[in-house]
Amino acid sequence: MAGLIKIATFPILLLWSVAYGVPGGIFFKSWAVYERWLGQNRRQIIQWKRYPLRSYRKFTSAVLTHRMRSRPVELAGFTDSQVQAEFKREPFPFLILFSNTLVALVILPFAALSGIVLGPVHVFRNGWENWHRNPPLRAGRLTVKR
Amino acid sequence: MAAKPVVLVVEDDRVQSDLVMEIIHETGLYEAVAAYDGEHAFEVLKSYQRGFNFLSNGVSCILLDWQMPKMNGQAFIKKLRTEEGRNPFKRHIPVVIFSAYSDRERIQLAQDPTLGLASGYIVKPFEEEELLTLLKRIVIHKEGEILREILIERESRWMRELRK
Repeated sequence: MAGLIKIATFPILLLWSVAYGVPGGIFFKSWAVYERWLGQNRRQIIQWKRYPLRSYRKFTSAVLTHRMRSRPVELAGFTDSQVQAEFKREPFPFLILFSNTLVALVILPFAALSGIVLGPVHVFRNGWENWHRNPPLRAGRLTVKR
Repeated sequence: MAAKPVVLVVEDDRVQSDLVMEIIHETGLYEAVAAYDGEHAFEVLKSYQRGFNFLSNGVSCILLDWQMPKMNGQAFIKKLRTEEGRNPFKRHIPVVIFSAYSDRERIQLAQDPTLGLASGYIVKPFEEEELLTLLKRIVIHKEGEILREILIERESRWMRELRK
């Protein structure tokens, strides 16, 4: 009897996985991209605001690396102190926030696509595991009701 | 009313676990949940999964004892980061290590690459204020990732000075 119930519920679970898993997968994957974008931007702002010295050092070192790229060290003519003299303060990291936003917009459709596949898989796997984990309990409940 | 951020205390010693839980509860800012070893902690984390497990876990911070039976702190943090790494969009849960180590143990810990996966460590016995300040920075101000970078830099500097 239990086997028959399992066979009967299999297509229902499959339908449920698609009906709930596809929109859920798209929504949650897109939300995950938003959370990632929010977290990265928040981190940049916190670092700029609360750890200004550390953030400034990172900024000047990034500027130096950018200027020295593809030039021999002897010919580059840039030093850390020169960059620090040029930039007394680190500007608000608008550029980083903007590039984070661009990256998020680019990966959003791919994330949504992966949600279409992974959402139903997650719902089906969870439903199947729950079904197999509690068969005695379900049977027991049925017996009590009767 | 918004739900309080959840702090998971992974500690095998029940007395210490209860003490830490009490300290956290008393602030009224966080909800503390206990786990008594690494495996138990993973079960607790599973119950706080959000959005098909595509979204970041509902646990805001993990306070992790380093010496534990079954699955110790090192094995736990490695497994946790491996699982988190499978989903690139997920935020990593900040981990604070509890350890009662001496200088020799600190050297071993500093050389251990898994330390770089944590946001901070607290030496037992610790001051209540120290724990709450660290929790506030990680959970309320969301500085876990920055603190993790600072921890790596500090430990490598400490190791360089020690070698001199």
